[in-house]
Amino acid sequence: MKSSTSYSRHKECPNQAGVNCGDCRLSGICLPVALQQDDIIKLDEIVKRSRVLQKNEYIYRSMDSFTSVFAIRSGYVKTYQVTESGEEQITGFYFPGEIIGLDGIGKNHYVNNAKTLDSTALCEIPFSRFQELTMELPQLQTHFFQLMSQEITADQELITLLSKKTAEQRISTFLLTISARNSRRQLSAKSFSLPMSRTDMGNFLGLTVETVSRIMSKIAKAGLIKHHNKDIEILDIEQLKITANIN
Amino acid sequence: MLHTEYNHQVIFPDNELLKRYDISCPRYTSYPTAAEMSEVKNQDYLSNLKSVRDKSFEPLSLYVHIPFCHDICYYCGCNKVVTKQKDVSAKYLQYLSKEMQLVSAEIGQRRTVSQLHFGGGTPTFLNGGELTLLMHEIAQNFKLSDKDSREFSIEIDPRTVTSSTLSLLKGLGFNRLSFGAQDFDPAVQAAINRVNSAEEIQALVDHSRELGFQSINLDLLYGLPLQTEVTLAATLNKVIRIKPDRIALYNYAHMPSLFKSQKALNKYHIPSAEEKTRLFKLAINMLCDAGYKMIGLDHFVLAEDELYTAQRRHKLQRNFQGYSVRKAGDLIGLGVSAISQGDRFIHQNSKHIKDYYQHLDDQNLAIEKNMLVNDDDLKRRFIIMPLMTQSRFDIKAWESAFNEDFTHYFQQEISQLTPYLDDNLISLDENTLHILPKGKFFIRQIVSEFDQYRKNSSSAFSKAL
Repeated sequence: MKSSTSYSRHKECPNQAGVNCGDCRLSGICLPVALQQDDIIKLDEIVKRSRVLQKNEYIYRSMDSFTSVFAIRSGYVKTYQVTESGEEQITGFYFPGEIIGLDGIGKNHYVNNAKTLDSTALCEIPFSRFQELTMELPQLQTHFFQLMSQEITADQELITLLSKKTAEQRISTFLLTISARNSRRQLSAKSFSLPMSRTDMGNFLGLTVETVSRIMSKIAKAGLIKHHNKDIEILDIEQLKITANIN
Repeated sequence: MLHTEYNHQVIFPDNELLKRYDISCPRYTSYPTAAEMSEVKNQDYLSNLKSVRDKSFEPLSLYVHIPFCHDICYYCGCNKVVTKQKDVSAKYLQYLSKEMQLVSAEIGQRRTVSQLHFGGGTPTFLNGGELTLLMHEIAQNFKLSDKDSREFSIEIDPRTVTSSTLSLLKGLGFNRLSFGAQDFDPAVQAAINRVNSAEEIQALVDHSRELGFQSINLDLLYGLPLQTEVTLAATLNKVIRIKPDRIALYNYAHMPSLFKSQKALNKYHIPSAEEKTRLFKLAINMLCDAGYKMIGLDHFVLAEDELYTAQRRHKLQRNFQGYSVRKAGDLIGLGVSAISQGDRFIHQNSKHIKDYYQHLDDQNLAIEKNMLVNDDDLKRRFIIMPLMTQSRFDIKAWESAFNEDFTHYFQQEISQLTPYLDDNLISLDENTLHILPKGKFFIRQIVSEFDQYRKNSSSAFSKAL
């Protein structure tokens, strides 16, 4: 097997010259060093660069049949379910470079609804075409499902991390995870803007809007963060980790 | 009588009784038992599978067998392939996928799978990517339930997983886990070639609970080499501290002529029949004192567990997959050696992986053995299954279901029950046959009196004489 580690990820991304695919979690699939040049061209034929969606548009809805997974090129997405009593329960927020649609893998239909929080651009991997390709390139399939399993694991671990904590720990953990996600994209780990409303944040964390506001003020008063509307600045990341009870 | 609750009282029988009824009997996870199957002669099983399609609104049970293990456990009697090669599983998954497509073409996708079980071998031999791929393919070929009441479980070899594996399994839709512990004594573990600490299992069980897994089960064995009452008590104390919701405590049967790997065990280290009885009695006493309820000969659950509630209300179900609260009558088994069961058939896939692959290469299902269930079998199943799970059987319900006179149809069987009646192991009136607390230890023997296929073998009582 030829490996060509020297080629630039930036140049080889078939979909978008202006986006740095190196930060995308799908880059392990789109640009795996194990693939030869010809294989990348084949993959290029199936990864769809979909249109740019406006704020508040659906990417897929719960019970839609599972056809694709999506990588977010730019923008933000929230996933949620609707409870039997008709209430929205937010199950996740997704940032550029992250993958959505994995909840469909064990069901053959999507469990969540996925909606944009901002204008959003996506790369789509349609599954049926992908499976055709993996007949020819079995190692691509192995690679892909390995990656998917890591994403599913990370999603579950975040849910568990947030579920067992006090309100203050949850909010601190939440801010820290966003900080870590930004830093992975070579963005500032300390200064960022929250893409979601306080209501959505409270919903995801299982807290009322009042509690979210109260605790944000509390940790701001303690000198750990500065906040103004959606803008957050982390002033003391070590202390915030202690508050979050993460080592 | 029918409205009284199940009696969970345990009365351990004396040695004299144990000796008198000491005959080996099937475990009756089904009737007829898997032992009654014979070689497949034609493709009859296709019409059997089609019958599964017809009951389109009833839930379905799915079993997936993953035969591979990294290491050999000397006690094991399961169908397995021990290998250090990691790439064997990728090939196996391709064949499983092919089998699923063939089965799905026969039975359709209208029935919801409410029970799913991954067994082995070692299902966690598969890496994260392979587990994800397998769940994806199952979901493509069958309609998986996403209700909270679904029972999706997987056997875990604690030596093969980390907390991340458990997170992945949760994300893939599993909501139950079964950990293989067997025994915690270092000498016993060394003797059976399966070393894992109670602390490791404790950590995994704790993490499983944080992830929201329910009905966590721990598998244990008694009758293992070097096991004594002292070592077993120490093991059970650790188990009680871990506090699994369910415990399966199996009797280790030493049959080296049948299971080659058992030849590695020193037979002089294996407890005698008398010692095994003492071990079993000790385990029952300790588990019951710790709050566990004995719901079957080898199954114990906490009082909060839904199986206990179900049994009290006489609603407990059982199939090849084990006990459950909800009925999923038809079982589809996938993979090498897997058994499928419908109302009117039982069949089993090839036991050897080569044969399994060959059948599928020939575009056929890999079914090697089967049997058709006749009307008489159904009449007996109607008796045997409730006796196994609820320790009682409703005679009037049988009579109205089959429109026949019970005492007339089973004249001979009823007469064979006399010794059990005399020993106060059962009670029988015109409405109900009850297994009494002491009789629960002989439930397989009692039930076998209704087993048409064991008619020619002598009854328990005459054998003892």
